[in-house]
Amino acid sequence: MNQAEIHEFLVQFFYKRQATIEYNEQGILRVKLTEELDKRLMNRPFYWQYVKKIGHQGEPMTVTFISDENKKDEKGEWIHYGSPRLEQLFQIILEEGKYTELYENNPSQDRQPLHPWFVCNLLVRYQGAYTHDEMVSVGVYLINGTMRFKMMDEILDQSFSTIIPDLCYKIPPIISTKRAVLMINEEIKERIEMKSAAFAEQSNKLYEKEIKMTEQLFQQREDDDGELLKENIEKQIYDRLYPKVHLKLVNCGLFYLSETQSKNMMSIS
Amino acid sequence: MNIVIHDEDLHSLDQDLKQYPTSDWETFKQAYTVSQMKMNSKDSLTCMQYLPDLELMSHQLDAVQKVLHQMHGRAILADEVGLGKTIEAGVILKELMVKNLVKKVLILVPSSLIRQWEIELQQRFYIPAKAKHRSFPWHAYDVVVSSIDLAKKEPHASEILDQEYDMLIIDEAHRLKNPKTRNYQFVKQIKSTYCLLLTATPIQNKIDEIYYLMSIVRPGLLGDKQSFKRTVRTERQDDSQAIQTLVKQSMIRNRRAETTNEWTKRDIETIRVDFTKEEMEFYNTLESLNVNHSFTSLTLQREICSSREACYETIRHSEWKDEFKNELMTQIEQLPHHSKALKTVEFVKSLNEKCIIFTEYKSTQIYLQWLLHQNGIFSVTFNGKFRKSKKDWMVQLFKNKAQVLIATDAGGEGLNLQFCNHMIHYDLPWNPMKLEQRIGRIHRFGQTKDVNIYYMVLNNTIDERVLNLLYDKLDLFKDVIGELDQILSQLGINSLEQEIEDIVKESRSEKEASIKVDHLFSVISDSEVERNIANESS
Repeated sequence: MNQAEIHEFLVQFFYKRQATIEYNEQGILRVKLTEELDKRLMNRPFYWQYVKKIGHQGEPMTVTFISDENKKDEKGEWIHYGSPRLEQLFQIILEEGKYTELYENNPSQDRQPLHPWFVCNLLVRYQGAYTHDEMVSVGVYLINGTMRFKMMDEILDQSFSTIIPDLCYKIPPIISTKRAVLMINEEIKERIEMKSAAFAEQSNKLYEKEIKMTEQLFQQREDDDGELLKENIEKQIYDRLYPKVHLKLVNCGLFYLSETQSKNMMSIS
Repeated sequence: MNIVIHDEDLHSLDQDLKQYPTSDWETFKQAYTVSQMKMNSKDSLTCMQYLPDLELMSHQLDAVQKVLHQMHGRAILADEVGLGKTIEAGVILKELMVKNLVKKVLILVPSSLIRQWEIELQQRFYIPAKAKHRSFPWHAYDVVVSSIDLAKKEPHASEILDQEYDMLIIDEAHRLKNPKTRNYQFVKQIKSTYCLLLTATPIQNKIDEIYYLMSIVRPGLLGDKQSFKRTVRTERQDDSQAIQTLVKQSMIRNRRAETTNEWTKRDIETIRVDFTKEEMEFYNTLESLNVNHSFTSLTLQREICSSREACYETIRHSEWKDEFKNELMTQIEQLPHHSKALKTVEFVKSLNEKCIIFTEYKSTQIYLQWLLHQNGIFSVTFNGKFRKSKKDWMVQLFKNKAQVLIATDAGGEGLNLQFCNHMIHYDLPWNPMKLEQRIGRIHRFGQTKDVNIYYMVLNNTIDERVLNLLYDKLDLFKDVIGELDQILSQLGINSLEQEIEDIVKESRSEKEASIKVDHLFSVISDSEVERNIANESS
């Protein structure tokens, strides 16, 4: 996201969450927050506690966000990529977008079935000699267990809604999501172990070298606190250098796809 | 294969599903793209995109990359003074935090710098650092700034040693060179995954010092004590560079002379002022005074060159006979406004930009503030006796409201005033290091404009003598100024100022004084050369 895109992002963000947009020119946005947004963003729990206690409604704050470099001197909050405020908004999105159940929008007039897919987006982080992230998006067809990768890329441009479209009906899943998660876990682990040989070797080498250095250092020492010190050092070396892979869940959900789309997904895996 | 896969997220997934509300497609997609944006790739510096206002100099970027990618987050940052070690440490910390490798951080710095670190991390790096305060325990905040002196005391020490930190940063780490001290013992026991030690002088006296610093950062790199000593001995004989090569694996040392960065220019201008007839007469009276006391006529001469008030105070507190005192004091009372002060006010007016005035005397400080006020110029004062919060407030006022900051030297240390680029030396300090420290307040990393330095000098007085004697020769040792302190203590010189004062007092002619000062300076710069040679070979 670059600086010029931030304004539009803010407009969308607040509009969507029912804040009142009071003023809007490129780079300057004044919004009156909702109570919910105020509580999340403005960090004034005592105010809300107080007004509620005395039986008042409470007045959410009005905030001006400046995202144009040339208008930085205007009165308001300067917001840029990396600023804590934007980070807060990202966090809200990440939380709200954790889970979903969606139905493909379909213009067809005929009665038709929708096929259940479980979609799971994971951040795979390699950490050891270096840190490297990869996004893995997997879909599992909950009827026969077909699995396909890069799922999000395929459906990103599709249109979905949270309510089932008229004339459509769901095909009930045969495979539980629990089972689907297990399958994904197994498959991903297998793939990671196949492709991470170089990473593991490089990290292990570094790790062994440091551990050996520590061993040598403590060889002659026999005092009591030496053991504790050595443990601390070994832990520190392990945490930094030992090859580790973390699977971090970004989000997941049930997607009901039209027959054509579902077949499409299964053919190109 | 030796690799650990953490899949806790997936294990807890099944129970979790129902607890989340269903999001719409837009938000789901956005969450996905936001996560993609935040991804790290191998050997890149992810955090720089979060810090658009921060521009790193090339040696700083280099240092950051090395510490992160080659030293894997444990290192000694030993750049020379003023090259921005704090910035380097800040970026390294930020990067590790952005990568989610570091959350709990302990930063130990000299107590005078706590506030500065706190502000710098918050404002420049958006890291929510918090200075330790007695109202909350050590684990209450993720990023805590404090001093070793506080931290090593009970009950703090045991509380800290119970924690498992992700990152430990220690500023001015040369305080840890002695392994027998409590400081050292304490720091060595702190548990932390990543670790940065910052010092401009990794080796002050003995090569052993680097051994002990390295034992904190990377224990075992230099072997155990015995083998280290053996290596040092053989190295002396066969001139090998074994230790230096090893040390370089975990230490960064940039020297000012080697950095390619172009520092902004320093323009120096001398503004000359004449005493009025009355003032000159009184000055001459002081010069001819024949007193034999702890302070000399020289002191009084320097003071009257600053302000009537400074001189008056000294005389009032002297142990002279009352009649004598009263006579001099009455004479002072009859003097007009100080010529130099008037000239300064006029100059500040014409400058019409923010400037800092340094004076040696508190009475002058008050007088100048009053005089500026009379002329409609808003100024704030600053000195060492102010409490921390008052200092912060004064700097804030200076930054936002006042045109002038009037400071005494005692208050100047650790101040960052790079938003200002004019500095007036109302009194010329007799110690070149003091001068450098003053200028360093504004001519430092972050200064974008050329820096203007002004000397206020009264013609035909001690001011002018000092200017000729000392200031024209400053170029001679501009390279050593940063480390002057250590050089002087090694030479057994306690106060350079005293040394110069003695020369001025005892010399019968200007020529003699000049030669003596030359000698003094050459001794100092020679010893720096020796030190450098010793450093290089170690």
